[in-house]
Order: sequence, then C-alpha cells, then structure tokens
Amino acid sequence: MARNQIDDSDDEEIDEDEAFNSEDELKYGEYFVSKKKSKSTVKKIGHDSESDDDSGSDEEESEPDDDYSKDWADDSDEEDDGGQYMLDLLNNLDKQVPGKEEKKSDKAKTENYNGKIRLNHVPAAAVQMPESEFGAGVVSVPSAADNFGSNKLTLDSLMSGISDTQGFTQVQRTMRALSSGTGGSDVGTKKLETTQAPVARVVSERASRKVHYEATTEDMTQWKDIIHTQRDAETLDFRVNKGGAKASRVTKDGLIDKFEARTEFEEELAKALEVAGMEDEKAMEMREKQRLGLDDGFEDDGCVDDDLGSNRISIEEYKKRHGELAKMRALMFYEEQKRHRINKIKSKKYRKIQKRKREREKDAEDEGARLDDPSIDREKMEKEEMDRMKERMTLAHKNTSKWARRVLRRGAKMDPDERRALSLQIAKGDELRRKVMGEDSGDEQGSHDEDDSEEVLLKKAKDILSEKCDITEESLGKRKGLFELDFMKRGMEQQRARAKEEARRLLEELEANEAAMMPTDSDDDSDRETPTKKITKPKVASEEETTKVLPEGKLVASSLEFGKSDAFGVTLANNDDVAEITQNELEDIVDTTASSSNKRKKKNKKKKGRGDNEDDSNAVPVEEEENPWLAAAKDGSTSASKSKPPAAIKAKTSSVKIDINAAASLLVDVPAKKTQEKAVDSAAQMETPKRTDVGLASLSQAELVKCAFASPDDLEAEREFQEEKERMKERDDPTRQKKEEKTVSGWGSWAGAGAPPPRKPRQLPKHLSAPLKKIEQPAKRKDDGMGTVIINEKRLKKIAQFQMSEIPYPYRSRQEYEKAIAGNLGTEWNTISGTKDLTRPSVIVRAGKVIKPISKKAKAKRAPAKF
Amino acid sequence: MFRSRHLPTSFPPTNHITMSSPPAAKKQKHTNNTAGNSISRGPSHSQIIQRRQKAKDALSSLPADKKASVLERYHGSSTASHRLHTLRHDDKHEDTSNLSSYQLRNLQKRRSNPNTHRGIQRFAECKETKRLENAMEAMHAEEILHDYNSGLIEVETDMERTTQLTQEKLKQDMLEENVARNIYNLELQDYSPYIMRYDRSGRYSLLCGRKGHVAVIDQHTMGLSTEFHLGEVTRDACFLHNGTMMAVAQERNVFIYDENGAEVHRLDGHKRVFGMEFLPYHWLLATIGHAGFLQYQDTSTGEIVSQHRTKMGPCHTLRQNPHNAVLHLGHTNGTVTLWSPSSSEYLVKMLCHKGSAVTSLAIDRSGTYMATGGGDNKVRIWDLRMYKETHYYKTYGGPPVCMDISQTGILGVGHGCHANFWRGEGLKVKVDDMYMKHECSGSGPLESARFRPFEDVCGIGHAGGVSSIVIPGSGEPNLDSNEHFTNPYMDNKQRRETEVRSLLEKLRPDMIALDPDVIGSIEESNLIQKQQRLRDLAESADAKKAAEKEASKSKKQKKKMRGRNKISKKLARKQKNVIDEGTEKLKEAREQERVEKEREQKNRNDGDDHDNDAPAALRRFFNA
Repeated sequence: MARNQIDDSDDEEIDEDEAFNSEDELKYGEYFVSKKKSKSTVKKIGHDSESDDDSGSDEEESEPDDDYSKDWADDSDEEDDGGQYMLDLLNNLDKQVPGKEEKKSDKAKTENYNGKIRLNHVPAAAVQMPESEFGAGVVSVPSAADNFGSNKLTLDSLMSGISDTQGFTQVQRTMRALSSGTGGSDVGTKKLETTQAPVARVVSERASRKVHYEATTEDMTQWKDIIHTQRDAETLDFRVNKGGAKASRVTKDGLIDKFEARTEFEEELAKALEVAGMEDEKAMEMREKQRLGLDDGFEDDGCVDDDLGSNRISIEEYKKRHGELAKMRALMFYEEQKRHRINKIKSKKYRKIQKRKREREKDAEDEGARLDDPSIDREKMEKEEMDRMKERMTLAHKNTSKWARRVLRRGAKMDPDERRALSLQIAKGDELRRKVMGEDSGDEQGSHDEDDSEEVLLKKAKDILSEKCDITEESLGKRKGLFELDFMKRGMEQQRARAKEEARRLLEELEANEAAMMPTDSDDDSDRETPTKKITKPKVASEEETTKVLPEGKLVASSLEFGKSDAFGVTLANNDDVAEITQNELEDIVDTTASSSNKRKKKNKKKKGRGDNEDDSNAVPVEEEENPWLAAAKDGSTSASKSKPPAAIKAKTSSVKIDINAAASLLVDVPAKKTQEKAVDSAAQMETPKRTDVGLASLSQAELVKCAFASPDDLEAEREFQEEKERMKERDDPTRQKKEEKTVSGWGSWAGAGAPPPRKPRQLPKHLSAPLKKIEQPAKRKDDGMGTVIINEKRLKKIAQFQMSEIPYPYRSRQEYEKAIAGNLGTEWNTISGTKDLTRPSVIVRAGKVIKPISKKAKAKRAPAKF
Repeated sequence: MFRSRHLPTSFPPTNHITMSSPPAAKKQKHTNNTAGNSISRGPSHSQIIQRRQKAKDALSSLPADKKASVLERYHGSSTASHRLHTLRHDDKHEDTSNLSSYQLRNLQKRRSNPNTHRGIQRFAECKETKRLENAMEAMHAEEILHDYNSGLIEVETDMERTTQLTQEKLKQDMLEENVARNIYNLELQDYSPYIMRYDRSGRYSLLCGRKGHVAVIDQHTMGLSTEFHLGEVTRDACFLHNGTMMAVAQERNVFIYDENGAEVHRLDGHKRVFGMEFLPYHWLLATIGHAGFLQYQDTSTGEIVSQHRTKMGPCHTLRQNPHNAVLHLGHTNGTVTLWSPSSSEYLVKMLCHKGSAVTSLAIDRSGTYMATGGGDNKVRIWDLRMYKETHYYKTYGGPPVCMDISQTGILGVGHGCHANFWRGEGLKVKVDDMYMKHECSGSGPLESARFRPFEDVCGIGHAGGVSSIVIPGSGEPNLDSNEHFTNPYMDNKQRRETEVRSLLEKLRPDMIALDPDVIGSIEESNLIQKQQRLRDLAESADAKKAAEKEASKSKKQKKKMRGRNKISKKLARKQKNVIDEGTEKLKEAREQERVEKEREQKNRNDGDDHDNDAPAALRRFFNA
C-alpha cells in the first residue's frame, strides 16, 4: 500500500507539472535510458517497466541476496532450452503486466504505455548491447535499479556462450550444480515477490536493544546468586584459609597416630624399636588405659606413668635435688644482699643516714661526757647559741626563702622530696625558735577534761574564790616588764574581780538549784541564806520579762544557745582565739541547723553585737552586771530586773542547768591555754548535733527537734517552692520573647496621660471580621501537674554534643532510629560469644592479603569462621 | 557501647556470663549458612526471619519472670521501653517548623519512599533477632551461673515476727560460723562518733572517728590494715575506686591517703567538706560542704571537672544514684536537688519534706526508688521515674539521720539509737511490718549505716564506736567478676589490671544525664528545646566569628598604602638609613646652629627684662 501511495504522489506530481509527458519521453527517452540503464539488455525489457514503477523506493532498498540466487537458478534452468528462454520471458512479462494494471490508475497505465513505447523504441540498442554488457556485468557493482538485469545477464551470457560445446559438458555440469546448490526449491513462488519495505529505525533499534538486553540479562543472572548471598550476609570474611586452619594445625598426637615407617631409615628404626620391646610397651599402655577406664579414674596413689616416665623419685635423689636447690637459693640470697649493700653505698640517702647515725652516736657520747664534765655542757650551749644566731641572721629555716617560696607556689604539684625537705626545714626552724624562746615551752600540751558534775564545779568555784588572790599574786610576782605597768595591773585586778564574781554567782545558782529541788518552798529563806545576796542581783530574768522577750518556747532554746556562746565571748576575754573559734563553730551550727531563717540570723548578729558591748563595758561595776549566761533574757531590759522575786529562780532552774555547762567550761578555761587537742575536742563537740539533750528546757522533744532544724513551715515552704517553679517556667517559656515584644513601653499610649480611652473598633459582622489570632499556648513542660517538683528544661550543651539534632538519613522517625541503636553490646550484659556476634565487623580482612575478585563459581560449603 | 553503661539494672544483672558455653541454638546459627561463596557468611534475611520467629516462640513459652528478665535485656535498660513510648509520642507531635525547607523536603521524601524503609527494616530485623537471641542466651547462662539465692528470714507461724530476732540469737543459733563472725561491736569511745563505709567489693571497711581517727579493716582477715590519727576533725570519709585509696574530709581540706596511711594528695579546692561521694565509672570525687559548693574532681587526672553553686546553704546529705551517676543533695529547707557535672543548674528539684530539713537520703540500685529522711521523723519513698512520693514510714525516737538501701533492696534507717530495716517490697508498696530491728542502746545515737556489698552485713557507726550486724538477704549473692573492683577476692595483679582497664573504660563526666540512654540519640523536638538549640547555635556561631576576628586582628596587618611599595621609594628609604659621614656632619652643623640661635634669643630676652624670673602667676603683669 505504501508503495502505491508513493507512486500516486509521484504520478500526481508529474501530472501537475506535465514536466515529462509522453511526448517528452518520446523525444528524450533515449537519454534517460542511456543514462539510467546503460546496461539494460533485451531480456531485461519486461522487468524494466516494473523497475520503473518502483523507481522511487527502490533506490534505498537493499535487496536480499536470495532473490538474486533465485533468479539465477531460474535463468540457468531456462538456459537449457536455448531459444525458448526469450519466449518464456516475454510470456512472463505479459502475465505480469495485466496484474499490475488492474491495481493501477489510469495514469499508471500511461506509464506502462510509456514503457511499451520505450520497448518498441529501444530494441535496436538492446540487441546491440550484449558485447558491451559482457565484462561490465561481472565487474561492476550493479546499481539498485537494474539488479535483475545485470545478474541474469552476466551469468546467462557466460553460460550461453558455451552451451552447445561438447568439450564443456564438465564445466556446464559444475555450473549447474553450483547454481542449483544455491537455489531453493521454491523458486517459482518467490521468484517474483516484491521486496518488503524496511521498518522504521526506532523500531529496529528497539528490537536490537531488546535482543541485547536479553543477552546481557542472561549473562548477568549467572552472578545473581552470589550477589544476593553477599548482600544478605552479615559479614564478609575475606581471610584466606580460614576454614582450613583447623585442618592444617599439626599436633603431636596427630603425627604419632599417622606415622608410618616409609623410608629405609625409618623402617630400620622401627624394627630396632620393636626388638627393644616397644610393642610390649604399647600393649601395656593399652592395658593400663583399659584398667583405668574400667576402674573409673585414678584410684591408686595417682602416680600414673606418662610419656615422660615415672614421677616418683627416690629419697636420695630428692635429697640431692633439694640440696642443690638450697645451695642455689643461698647463693642467690647472698648475691642479692651484696647487691643491696652496694646499691645502698652508692645512694645519697645512705650517706645521709650514716651521717645522722654518727651524729646521734656523738650526741650520746656528749651526753655521757656532760655528766662528767660541765665544761662540755657549756661548750654545747655555746654551739647551740651560735646556731640560733645563724638562724636569726639567715632565717634559713623559714618558708620565706626564695627556694621555699618557689616550692610553695607550686602547691599541690610539689615533689614529695621537696615537700619533705620543706617541712623538715620548717620543723627545724620551729625547733630553733622554740629554743630561743626558752627551753621548757614544749610541755604545755596538757589536756583538760570537762567534768560536768556539780560537785567538781562547786569545788572549783570555791577554789577560785578562796585561792585566786594567792595565785594571782604569785603570778604577779613572777611577771615583769609590761605587767608591772599600772594600767595592766588595774586590768588584771578587774579581771580577777570579774572571775570571782562569776564564781560567786555560780555558787549561788547551784545553791538555788538545790533549794529548788528541796521540797520546802523557801523563797524568803533562800533570800536570807545566800551570803552573797546583797552583792548580786538576781541573775535570772523575771517571768514577764522572759515572756516578753521570748514569746515562744523555741526561742528560749535558741537564746540559751547563744547565751552560752556569749558566755564564752565574755569570760574568755583574755583568750580571744579560743573564743573566736567557738564562736565560729557556733555560727556554723546555727547556719546548719537553723537553715536560712533570717529571723534567727538577725538575732544572732544582735547577740554578737551585744556581746561586744559587754566586752567594752568591762569596767562597769560588778554589781550592775547581769548574768551573761542568760544573755537573751537581759535583752533590752536593764532596769526591770532590779527587784526580782526569787521565785523566778525556781521557775527557771531547768534553763539554768544548761548554763552550768558554759560556766564550767568558763572556769576550766580560765588558765586559757590554747592547745590543738582542745580545739579539736570542742569543735567536734559542737559539730555533733545535740540530739539527746532531753529535758533541756520546758519543751517537748518534737518541738526541740523542730527548733533545731527550724525552717519555714509547711505552707511557706510550699509557697516558696511554687514561686521558684513559676520563675523557672517563666524563664524557659519559648513564647516569652513575644510577650515582651508586645508590651513595649509607650505602646498604645501615645496620646499621653489623661487622654480619653481609645475608641473601640467597630464591630463588623462575623463574616467580614478578620480571623481571630491564635492564642499561643505556653509550651508543655515536663513538670506540669507534678506539684512540688521542678524539672529543669534548660538544654545542656555538654550533653547535646552526644546527641543528634535531626533524624539521620535513612531513618524516618525517632522511634525507628532508637530501635536500631537499642540494646547493650558489652560483655557486661551479654555472653562473650553474644558480644562477638553483636559487634562483628561487616567485612573481615587480613592485613596485607590480596582479596581475590569475586567469581561466579559457587564453591563447596566451608566451615564457619573462627573468631 | 556506652549506652546505659552505668547500669546494673534492678534485677541482678550481667553477672558471670563470661564463661558460659553457647547453647545449641547458637551453634546452629553458624552452620546453617548457605552462602556458597568462599567470602560471604552469615544468614540470609529469610533465615533471620525464621530464627526470629523461633526465638519469639521460645520466649513466649518461658515463665513470666524469666520472660521479664529476657525482655529487660532485650530492651537494654529498664527505662528503654518507656523511652520508646515517649519517642513515639514525640514523633507523632513533631514540630518541624524549625527545619529548613531542604531538610523538610528530605524528610518527607524519605517518609514517602518505601524502599528506604525496607532497607532499614531488614537491618533492624537482623539486629533485633540477634539481640533477642543474645538475651535468651544470657538468661540461660545466668540461670546456670547464678546458683545462689539471697535468703530472707521467714516466719513459720503467725505469732512470730522477724523483728523479734536479735543479733545475739542469730549469732548463737542460726548462722554459720563464717557469717556469724560478721556480728561484732567495736567500742571506740575516744574519737567517737564514728562513721563506717565499705569499698565496692565489700572487702575493706573504713572507720572514721570525728576526732581524727581513721582505720581500714580487712573484713576477710578481720585485721587492721591501716590506722592513723589526724589530730583534727574529720567530717566524712570514703574509699576511692578500690580499697587502696581513701579520701578524708578534714577540718579545712580533703586529703587522699593510700593503704599505708600516707598522705597522697591534699585537695585544696574543697573547703570544709561535709559529704563526699565517689563515682566509680567516671572516676570522679564529688564533695559538698559548708559553702554549698558541689565540686567534681577527677581522681585520675586531678583536675576539677566542674563546680556548681547550689545557692542553698550548707549541705550535709549527698548520695549518688547508682543507675545514672546523678548526685542527689538533701538540703536544710526540705528540698532534694539532682545534679550532674554538665549542668550548672540543678536538673530536678523536689520538695520532699515540707518545713523540715532533709537529714538523710538513699537511692536503690536500679535508680527507681529514693528514700529520704527528714526532720519531720518520716522516711518518704519516692518513685524517681515520676518524681512522686509513693508512701512514707514514721520513725519514733529521733529523725532518721542515716539511711541506706542494700543491693537486694532492703532499706535500712538509723534514727536515735535504733536501726530499722524494711524488706525490698517496702520500697514499692507500704508494708506494715518491718523486717528487722537493731538497737545500739548505751552507745549513743547512730551516725552512719551502710550495707556491705555482696554480704548480708550492715555496718553501723555511732557515738560508742562501730558495730557490724547481719541482715539476712541484704547482699547480692552472686559476684560479678566482670564489673571492675567488685571482686573481693582480687589479688594484686588482678587489681592492677583492673585499674588499667577501668581507666581505659572511664566515662566522660559530661555523659552524666538523668536518662543515660540519651547518649547517641536524637534531641527532642519540643519547642523549648528547639528554641534553645537555635539560640545555642547562634551563640556558638557568634563566638566563632568573634574568635576569627580576634585572630585576624592579632595577625600582622599588611600595609596597603599606595605608592609606599614602589621600588624607587624603597631604595630611597634604604638610603636614608645609611650613615654617611657627610650627612652626619651636616646634621651636627645644623644642630649647632639651632642651639646657638636659641642661646642668642635667650640672651636677648635676658637683656630686655626679668619677666622670666617672675612667678608664673605674676608673669602677665610684666608682659602688660
């Protein structure tokens, strides 16, 4: 069909143009023919017309070779008939032409007509052609237009020349065989078929791709299995020989089992062994083994013979060996000792030790000599004096030297040797200094014992009252220099008076206690009986006073405590250090126990201030001074306590009791030696919270404990906590920034103060009004609804460095990722094999080994890898 | 590796699975690989699925308790499943507003692509299967190796009470000799009150008298291994990583002593310390004291890792959470705060005792329960997963001053001169009867109570010295030789090796977080965190910029003035520096000329008037 159409269009074009009509053909046909079909023959005429028809498409068409051969066969068959050939040809032509004409339009007919005309027109030339055709037909490549003609022409013409010749039968036969061999049996049917038009390039290429793809796929599928297994495999193990490792391991037993005497030498040896009785040995061994197997273990004394022979040795041999061993040991020990000594000799330390030893010996000698000869003693004294002078001049044994300062600056990084040297130096300096001060200041380290019992206190107080004068006078007599000055004397006098006064007061209080404990109520009696009554004021505050100052029981406790501390502060005025220490410690306690109660702290400060005042007002006459132990009671009231009923004493005896402690310590501490041990003691005592002071005041245990750990009460504590939580919430609120922005100062108040309120915006109908702004909810916190718990939501940068900010690539959610990394891998949680399994690398290679390229061939199964 | 490394979980963890032989299922795993190739091994995906199914079947056939233990191993920690739950929630309510458009597109693409999911799924399935199998295996191994059970005392009749049992009776009638020898009483009046601490293995105990007496007792030989007197107040003492080193909080500083009593270090940074704790996995010594400064010092490098101001005054109560190494401080205002070195603020603050101080604190091994004792005479039990009080116990006769929870969860409380013990269920729910009682009558109030690890012993320090009592069922019966420094039978060589290993496995202090699983995970997507992250990023970028600027400033600036670098000028400048005789002379001559000129001027002025001699204030009159 395609061809017809093309023909039509061609024809039409020709028709329209009338460029080359029949007349033209008549005129110029020869030129065209000569140009196009210069090689056409008479035989070809019939075909010619047809080839003209096809001219448009035939140009590109490449005709398969088969067609040629078929034609050839036809030709050769027909050749036998000789002149008949031409006729046949003509007949065929006739047959063919009408068939074509049926399909074709009138214009095609005109063309045929043209062809016929040409046929009539051309013959002379056609007849003349053969000679010229002869060589050209063979040599030249036939053009597409006249394939038929040229092929047939050449062969036939070749054959025809020798057809009748007798001598060429052989050649003819071969030629015929040749042509029949190439020719098909269905020559008749195919002979005149037109060639197919070629398919479009896209289609043909697609087809070729398909073919190629299939081929390649087939090729690749061979790899499929191996690739899949590799991809699925958890581990790729590229270590060579990993399976065979076990096989290649050579063991002694294995070798023995396999052994066979092969070489001459081996055979000879085997024979010799046999003669010597190896077989017997083996048999024995077997028997032994059997026996052991039956008896289930080593029942005899365990000295089973092994390959190495008996493990039993004779006593002589044992002794010999032991002797050898002992000798060796002795030698070694000797050598070691020697080395040790030599090493020692080399060292500086050794020298030092030696030197010190010598010195010590000399000292001992001197000591001995001193007893005999006093001059040596003097000499020694002189030498020491020199030493001291040197020390004074150089100050070498202080930590102020350049070296010492440098060492000290290094602080904690100090070399232990250096540290030792430094401490040694300082110790030496101390010693020298002490010597300068006087020989006997070292033995002041007396410890004091705190006796709380009343009798002892009483005794001590009495002692002070009666003997103190003597003591002080004695001490005064001893003292010289500064102490002889007038004001010093006066000060001492006052101090003594105060001490006496305090002792007196104590006595009185103790007596009052006794009185209170007695069944008879003798308020007046006690007044009368107390010998010191006229001197002393009642020491205990009146009840009104107490209630006024101390409205609550718990404050009594606290004030008592402070009273005690003040007692220290006042009475130990000449021993400020100790007082300070105790004060500090007390503050400590107050801090720790009373927590952050401001009230208490303030009070404490006040007390301290007052204590100082008292210190200052030491010169105040004794009569007017109040009881320092109940300092709290005195607070702010100096006049109220003038006429106090002694009943108050009774009422407050229990509180007075505590003060005895303080008083006792006061009295004991009058000598006021500051020793380290004492400081430790008192500090330790202060540090331990007093939990067992039952009956301390008229308070219940629970109340006391509450006082001791006084802190804001339940509600207040909770309120404070909630406030803090609110603050945290505010701080972490992500919407805070926006809120702040909204409330810029001055915003919405540009009209100034007193301006009328801004008009309300007009209410628009709902569909016209702007959409309501979304009110931002504060972000949800973890501690929302948790009551008294604050969970800090501040992002921790230091932890964030171990975290990822976003979900890493292949994962799609946090959960997925978390699942992938979950689980513990370490040996702490798994069995060892489990850990190895979990942490096995995905590819295992042996360093330096070449990894062979992957091969299609699947090999036999191998043993599992060893890890 | 590092995930929740710190955690011996609530059920006896890990122990002793080192020498286990893999069960049959495990062996099969290796042989059934069908990979025909010489280089690949391991099961295929389909095999994995089969194995997984098999493991699941096996799991479902287990009894409930074993199943629970396997599942706990499988999830990694007790909190892991909870964490997964929260993550799921987080995923659902994810806030992507802060993602860049590129990131968002990427994420969406990933979500829409089923192939990526398949890959991950395969990987995850493979891993999960392995984990499940390993968990089963570990459980089996544990079954074999943990052959001891901790035995609690039980009553035979309803009339009996376990509290009736006294130590004397225990010692006489019920205990074996080697256990009974743990009941003893040391009367040490001179330096009392005492505190008693044990090292991680429970072999050594540390006695520390307030007045400066320090002693170490080897509990195996019952002999004194070290003893020394310090001559000043000692407020607290604890062992460091093992029994050879101890830290003592003295009057001013903290000192470290070795096994011979020799002073190794003085830690100057820690002033007036009241409480100390050693974090074994991080090698950190944490102290708190009078000033309320919480300090962490690395005992392996010696540097102070971090110090936080608690702003809550002096603090006496400091304990560590063994699950996550977070420190719990009990304050005098009744609050408990949780701290880690990575945060300058507390992580959590809870008001535990309203209106009274927190006097003591203890946390159980799984980090789930906390017990606090306060001045209100109550022992409150808290669930740390929710920070919620579950119940409380009352003490009669003094507030609870010391407290400890044993490895098996027995809660010991010391108040006044009593020590009370509640059994493990007492932490979960309120129980009516306590487990045991002990009274140190006549030896003053209790100062400290600590359970000895791996033994059924509790050491009590009090004003009369020290006493050791036996609380049956309080110690973990099975030793874990894999855990560092917990082997009481360790010899010197082992100890040294363990020391090195433990140092190599030391965790960074920054890793301490409330949830140890947070390491290696993705940050939460909630708004607060996100905004803070952005702020942090901006800050760090700014800092970087500033640093760069600084660096560029310090670099020598190139002179870019035009014309200065012309070669002729350069030469000319060079020429200038050449000292030439002629030019020198010329300079001199000029100088001289100038001087002469000046002198002349001066002379002329002198000749004219004396205004220069006049005081400055009057000079103007001369001029006028």
